[in-house]
Amino acid sequence: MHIFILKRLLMMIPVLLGVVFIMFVISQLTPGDPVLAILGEVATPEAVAALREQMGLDQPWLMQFFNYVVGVVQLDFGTSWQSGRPVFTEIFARFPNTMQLAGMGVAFALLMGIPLGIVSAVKQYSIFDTGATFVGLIGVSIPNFWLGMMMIMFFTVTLGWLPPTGFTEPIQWIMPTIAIGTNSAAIIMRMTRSSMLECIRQDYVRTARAKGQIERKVIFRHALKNALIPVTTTAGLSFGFLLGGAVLTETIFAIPGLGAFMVSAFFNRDWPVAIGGVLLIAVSFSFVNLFVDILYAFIDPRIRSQYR
Amino acid sequence: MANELYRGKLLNISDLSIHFFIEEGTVHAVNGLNIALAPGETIGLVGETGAGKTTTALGIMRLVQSPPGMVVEGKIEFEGRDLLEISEAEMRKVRGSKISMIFQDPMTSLNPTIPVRDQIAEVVLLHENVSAQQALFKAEEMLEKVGIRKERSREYPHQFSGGMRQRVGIAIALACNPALLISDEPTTALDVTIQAQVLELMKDLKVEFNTAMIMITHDLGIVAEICDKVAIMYAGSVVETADKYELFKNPKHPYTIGLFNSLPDIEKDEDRLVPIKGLMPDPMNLPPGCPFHPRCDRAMPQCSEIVPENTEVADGHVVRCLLYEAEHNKEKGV
Amino acid sequence: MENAIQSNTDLKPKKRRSQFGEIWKRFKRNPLAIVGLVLIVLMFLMAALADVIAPGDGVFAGYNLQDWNRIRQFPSAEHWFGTDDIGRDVFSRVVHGSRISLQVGFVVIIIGITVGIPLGAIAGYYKGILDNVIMRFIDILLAVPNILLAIAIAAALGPGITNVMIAVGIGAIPIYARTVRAQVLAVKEQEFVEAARAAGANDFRIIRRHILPNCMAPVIVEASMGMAGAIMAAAGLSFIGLGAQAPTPEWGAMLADGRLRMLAGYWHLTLFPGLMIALIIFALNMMGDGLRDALDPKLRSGGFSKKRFRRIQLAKAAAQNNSGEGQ
Repeated sequence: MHIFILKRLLMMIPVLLGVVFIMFVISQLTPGDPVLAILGEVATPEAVAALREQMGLDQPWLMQFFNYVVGVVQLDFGTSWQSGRPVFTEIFARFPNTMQLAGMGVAFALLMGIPLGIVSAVKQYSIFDTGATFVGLIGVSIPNFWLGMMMIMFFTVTLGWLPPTGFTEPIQWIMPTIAIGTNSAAIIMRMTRSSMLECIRQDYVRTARAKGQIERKVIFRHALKNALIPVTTTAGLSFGFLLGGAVLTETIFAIPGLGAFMVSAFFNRDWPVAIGGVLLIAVSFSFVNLFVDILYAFIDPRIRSQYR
Repeated sequence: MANELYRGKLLNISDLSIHFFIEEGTVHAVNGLNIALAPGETIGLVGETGAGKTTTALGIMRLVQSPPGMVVEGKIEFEGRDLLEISEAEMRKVRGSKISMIFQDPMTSLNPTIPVRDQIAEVVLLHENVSAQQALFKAEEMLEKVGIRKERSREYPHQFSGGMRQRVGIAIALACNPALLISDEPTTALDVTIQAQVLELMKDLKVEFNTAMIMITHDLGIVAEICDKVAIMYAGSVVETADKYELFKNPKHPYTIGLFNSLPDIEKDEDRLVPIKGLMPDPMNLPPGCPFHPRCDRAMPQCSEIVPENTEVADGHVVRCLLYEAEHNKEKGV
Repeated sequence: MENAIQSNTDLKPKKRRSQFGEIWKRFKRNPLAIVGLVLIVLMFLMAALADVIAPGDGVFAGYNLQDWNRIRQFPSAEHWFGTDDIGRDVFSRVVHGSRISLQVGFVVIIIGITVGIPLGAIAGYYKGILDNVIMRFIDILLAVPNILLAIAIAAALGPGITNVMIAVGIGAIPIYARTVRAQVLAVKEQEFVEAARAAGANDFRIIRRHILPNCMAPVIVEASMGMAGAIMAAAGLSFIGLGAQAPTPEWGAMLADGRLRMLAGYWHLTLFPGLMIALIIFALNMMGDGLRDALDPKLRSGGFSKKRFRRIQLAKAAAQNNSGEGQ
């Protein structure tokens, strides 16, 4: 198991290097000169050259990439072209909010999706199942940013119950969590349902019933544990989806998080911040996926023996 | 009236019909099936794939998936009670303790996420008034009985071979000393050499526990080895039932005769086997009259119109075929 | 089942047609899938007839016609979806917006498929180093949340709907590559591929004529669902200002405009464009679900007929009651 984790950690390195590389390639697509963008068209050639050297832009971009990677290893993500402050402090000041938002979104998605999926599968063909399937389809289809706005419209403007923006008080967490988590809740519900449907038709579930086990234990002890294996994967993928979704949700609810910050960085072509942010999100996503793989081993002994 | 012919004490199934209602139509899986069984007795339930053997077994356990399946009529009397009438809670007390089942595929019928020991202990805990510790102890005892060392009891199903897993399945089924054991082709999925071992084990344990057994199989060899009685199933009903020796010596129903003809007989040194022509009818679309008549060599015009009744041709030997019904009625002077 | 013998002796050419017929038959049985299909057809009609439904003058006025005498009006008989900040008719803009969203959906799928399928096919067919290189590249793309990758590319290329299509399209590549690779790995071991190779067909021909046609089922399903995802992502990008620019009547961009007036209670500016996005995605997802079920060989039969089941159940209960009363 330890060796497995170590191997997976090592495998992350080339992927993350690749992410940084691709982001460098993308940044090269930008037309125009960032130095001129910062200093304005009227800057003297000397000032431009000086700033260019200071930003490391006088070197070929492959060299810039190399220098960046060397910096990242020492936790130096460069400085923001916009604010002039270290990217590291800028993004880590906002990262906790984004993680909290995504975490609450996943929690919401799991708490809604798994129970509904189970009931829907167990009561297949019932009105509840039909209703849940339909609501699930709607849940997958609603754009999270629109759902956020509709909630503000209803709960803030019409009812006056919830504050439209901010992220400091728990009451301010409600709408962003629902907005960001609804798609995933629906996806997890659909996954849980189909996975449960498959598991409750398995021979070993029939064996459990043949033992005289009560239905509740048949479902929870025998079917659910096996059904959760694919759901775990989906939940892990949702987390990445939510980290991306945070970009829009944070914009709508004016949450001072990494997502909203990165949007402004992209707009201003502040590439050090953009690359740093993308890297940080890719790292967290990779760790979540690793966590999911470890979770597999706890659920399924067959996978556990493969990991050795 | 058919019931009078059956003199079972432990189990008496009469006119059992189980249908599945799917979009394409109604699947007539079991149609008016009759079986009787005395305590300690073993009956072989023989038929081709799709004859309704497994559905019958699940019907006795009341485990037919519903919907889409439903017992549309019939009685399953077990120890004097109709299992179809009792509550689900009472039925649960029967399952695993009075009637238990061994399933066909040992690769899939054990839960992959639970150690084998706990899977056996589960059934003990459910039906016996013991502590968790005692149940685990009993589970290990059962494992030893089926030939698996105690040391392996904490392992998971995937760590065992197919034959070993089926031994675990047997341990689960026998852990609470059931009065009736239903074995659904327990050896079909196993290698031939392992098959013999598992059969031998079942034979021994059956005697040790004095368990009545329904042995579902399509292999007449297994029947010869392990059963007392045989019931031949075709298209969801029993077409012929008799004592094993009587049936092997004196098969009556054209289908049964066809089954024997399609088997190689080492003593006769035949040049070729005689297969039964045609295929099993689609259970969604059974032919009228006797379901076997389209494939029957001796079919008569009325076979496609009249559903044959049970006819007792000899003591305990019952056939469902118009050929014998007519003869029998003549004898009785009807 | 009853046709088991017959269909084996059927001639080959007939098979293909009946296969489509089978799929359509199963698809047709699923009411949600049909609703999805109908909605999509309606969307296409709306896009095609946008100039007829919301013409340059008349009741709805042109979608870009500004009228300062009617700014931010709520929905009325005259302006079904109300008017916006600068007095444009929201209904006309929503109708014309369907053209953009459908176009985005299609272009993204085409980018995803034309790049993703060859990548997946090559990776699956040749395995080895080529497979490794391609799949690690796909892994890298997948390590970044899709929308973030699209934002990065769109930001670099500069705002505009074309760049959004490219950006979202690149993000769509991995899913097709993975799907096709998995299918190719399964299909290429089959005998007819072996037979084609024995007959001297070259790799390109084998992939194109023998392997890919047998990989299409999951790709079609992915494409249906992927189009939904693409439309959602593109609307999101336009919403944060990277996509369609004013005065294009793009739904996401309309939402961004409407958002500024949201707290003031002008709900119609955000409700209708968003509803359209949700509706088209909903329709595509329903159709995708239906396609998946229709194409899945595992689900060929076994749907449960509730009607007949209930009828027998009731008849049984009635019979039991009668016999109970009789005693």
